[in-house]
Amino acid sequence: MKKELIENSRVGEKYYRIIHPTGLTVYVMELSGFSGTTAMFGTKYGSVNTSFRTDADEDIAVVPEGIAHFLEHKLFENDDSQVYDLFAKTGASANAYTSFDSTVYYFDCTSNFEESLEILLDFVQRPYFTKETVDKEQGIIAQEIKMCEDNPYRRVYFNLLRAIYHNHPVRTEIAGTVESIGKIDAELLYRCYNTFYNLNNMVLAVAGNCKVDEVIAVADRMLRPCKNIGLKTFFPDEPETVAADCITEKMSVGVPVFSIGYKCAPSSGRELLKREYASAILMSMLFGTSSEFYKRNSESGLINPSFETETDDGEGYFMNSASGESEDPKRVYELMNEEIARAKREGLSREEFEEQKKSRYGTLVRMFNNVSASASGLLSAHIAGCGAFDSIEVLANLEFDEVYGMIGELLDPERSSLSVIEPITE
Amino acid sequence: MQTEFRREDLGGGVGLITVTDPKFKTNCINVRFLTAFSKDKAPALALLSQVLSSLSADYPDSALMSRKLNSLYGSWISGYSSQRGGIYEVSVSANSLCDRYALSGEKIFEETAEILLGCIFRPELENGAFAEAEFNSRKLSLLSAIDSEINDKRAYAVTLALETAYSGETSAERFYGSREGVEALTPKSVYEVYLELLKTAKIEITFSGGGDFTEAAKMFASAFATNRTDWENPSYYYPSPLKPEPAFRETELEVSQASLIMVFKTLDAESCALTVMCWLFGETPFSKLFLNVREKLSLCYTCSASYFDTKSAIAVVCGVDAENTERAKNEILRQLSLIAEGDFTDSELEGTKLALENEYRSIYDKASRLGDWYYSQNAKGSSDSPEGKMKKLWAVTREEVIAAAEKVKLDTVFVLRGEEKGSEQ
Repeated sequence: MKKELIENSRVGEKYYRIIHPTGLTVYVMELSGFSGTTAMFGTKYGSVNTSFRTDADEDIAVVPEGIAHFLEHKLFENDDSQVYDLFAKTGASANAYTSFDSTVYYFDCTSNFEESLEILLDFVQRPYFTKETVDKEQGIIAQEIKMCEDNPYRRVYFNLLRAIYHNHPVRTEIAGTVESIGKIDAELLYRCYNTFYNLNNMVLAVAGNCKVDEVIAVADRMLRPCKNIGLKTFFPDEPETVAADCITEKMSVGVPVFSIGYKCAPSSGRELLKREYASAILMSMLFGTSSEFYKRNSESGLINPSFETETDDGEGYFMNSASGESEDPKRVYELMNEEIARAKREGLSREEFEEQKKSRYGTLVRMFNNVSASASGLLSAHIAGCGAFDSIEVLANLEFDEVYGMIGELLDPERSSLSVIEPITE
Repeated sequence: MQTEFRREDLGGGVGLITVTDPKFKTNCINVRFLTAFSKDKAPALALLSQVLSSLSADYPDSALMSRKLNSLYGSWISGYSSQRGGIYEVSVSANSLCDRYALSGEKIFEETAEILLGCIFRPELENGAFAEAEFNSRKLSLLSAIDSEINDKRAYAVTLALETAYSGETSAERFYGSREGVEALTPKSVYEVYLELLKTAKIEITFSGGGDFTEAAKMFASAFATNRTDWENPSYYYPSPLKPEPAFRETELEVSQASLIMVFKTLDAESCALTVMCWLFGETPFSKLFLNVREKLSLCYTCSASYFDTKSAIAVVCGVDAENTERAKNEILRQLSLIAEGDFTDSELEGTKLALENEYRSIYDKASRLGDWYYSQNAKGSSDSPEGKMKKLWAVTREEVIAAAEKVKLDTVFVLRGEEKGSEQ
């Protein structure tokens, strides 16, 4: 077992990184004074991982959309118990989520930490699927999919991904469709489980009122050794261009909802962190609440406080976007592109860049003010191929000229799309 | 835990709560102006929190203020208006890093506190009224938010259900009164309501976090010093009477999934027993509703219950196919009657209390939640700490849970169901 202590003097925090003999990477951040502890057990398996191969396979396997999310639901049922009933005995609050590139099972607790960690590590390693339990879950997940269909903010976002990407599976809803989940059966679930829920492909992150030795002791008791199966995931070729300039749908909304996306080249590791910060700072300087763009267009009523920017990235995709509500989304889109052109032509303020850096540093310090955010930070950094403190160092070393030089690539109107949900009119 | 709580009466209807714990890296300040709901003033009060939090005479440009806050390591100022029970709250708050995280020794917290005081006491004015450009921007935003209420289908369904459940009470009103009322607002009319609020509202200031509040508390005590002898004292509790017969209401909208909202009311049930009962009924993933309506019958993805202590009401929210609403409704009623008959195990009751303990103890881990906790306790006339409340919940007996469930009666059933869906273009 390899155990190292990683410290950062800028935020005054530290955490342990352990490579457990079973193949699992474990992170532990002891946060003194806090009552609660969060433990997150995740696998690098999300909705985009629909094509894969292991050393044992001759061909690439292609599975139905929504299967990672279906597995997330089904693992909460063991052969002899409901997992929530087990957590009821410890008082921990447990849940799970599936994203584009990971599935994570977690609990928050303020007592009985060891018992809860044992339950978490046990149930995720103990799948149990039958035709009856899979059929029953299809009804529940179908309701979840319908709930998402009625959410215009989610619809406008996934429509944007469909406009931006030609082939990448990020363009598909995480839960799949009612049709695609109908193709999922117990055999497929076992196939995907045995491929992706290998400890070499997984991570455990714990933060809060805990001790590293107690986490390792539970891990030693509960983890079952895994052979590395040589897992490889595959993605279709993705052109640099966008798939569509504009996509529009009608729903029952009071005000049109929009999302505007800028397609960028994907990256990974520290380079990914640098591009994430450059994107966030550039978009804040151009379109954030401190910008002339925001002031001018909120005063005219074109945008409102729902207007916000974000970056979404993962294996094979990277997109900067702005979303909100407006009576005239096309005008917002035009003005954003004009603002990008103006910034390229006239430059940006160095002083404001430094203010943005300070603000981002504040956000990072705040992350370690929160038990669950700390655990989540450890886990998501690992999934992205980084350490939890790497972002602090990347931010500290970010230079104005370098960031300014990235505008053309990170906000390219030639590789952008507009997605709109319009109100239904009689 | 090293949490220290103190409440000081500053006189003139102004109170100051400080909750300190050195583990926190941030500090929060919340200034609440508390009044009773009035439909005439609601539009102005709803907008006022937004106008006050966006700029001040010190920072007369919202972009300039935003830049200043960025330079203070991402401090923020925000405004919020709401109606809860018998209290209408106009809240303006600030959040900053503790000074020990400043890279160049800046006084982050005091500077942020000063900006907040400027927003409250030195608003940017033109001709004896709020500055017009920012006022109009905030007004357009509020109107847009009103028009967008329909976008979040579940929240919209809950709003309509509570409108029926609380019919005839002020709680049935939207926090902004009416859209027409907001449209009619002017910089002058809202400024006059602001001046009146300063004169008549009860004021509760809350400091919570890891920092040393001494200097900032002095600043606030001085700024809020007043010789007022009379002020409003709205009541936190505003129980809603049970209808003689349950009300049923349906609305159609373009949705894939129906929303079933059931509102129950209680006849003088004890609050701690009701809290435990509600959690056993539908607040956890091992509750009666989750295990039966979702897991056993596979009818829905969400089915949960929430207890509103200010109104002595419980709302059950369920997303379900339209053709299954009757089945879901019957099962929800059946699960409630089973609790009233004592059909739950000691193990289920203990699990529910453990989950509640987890919920209450976790309040100690967030500075803003601690501040909100002690503010609410004061409004309720209680001095319970989260730990103290937990002990009371643990003392609730099986018999008391049964007695509480027996007193919970159906008041309102609301269904939001779908029409034909819109098509993609």
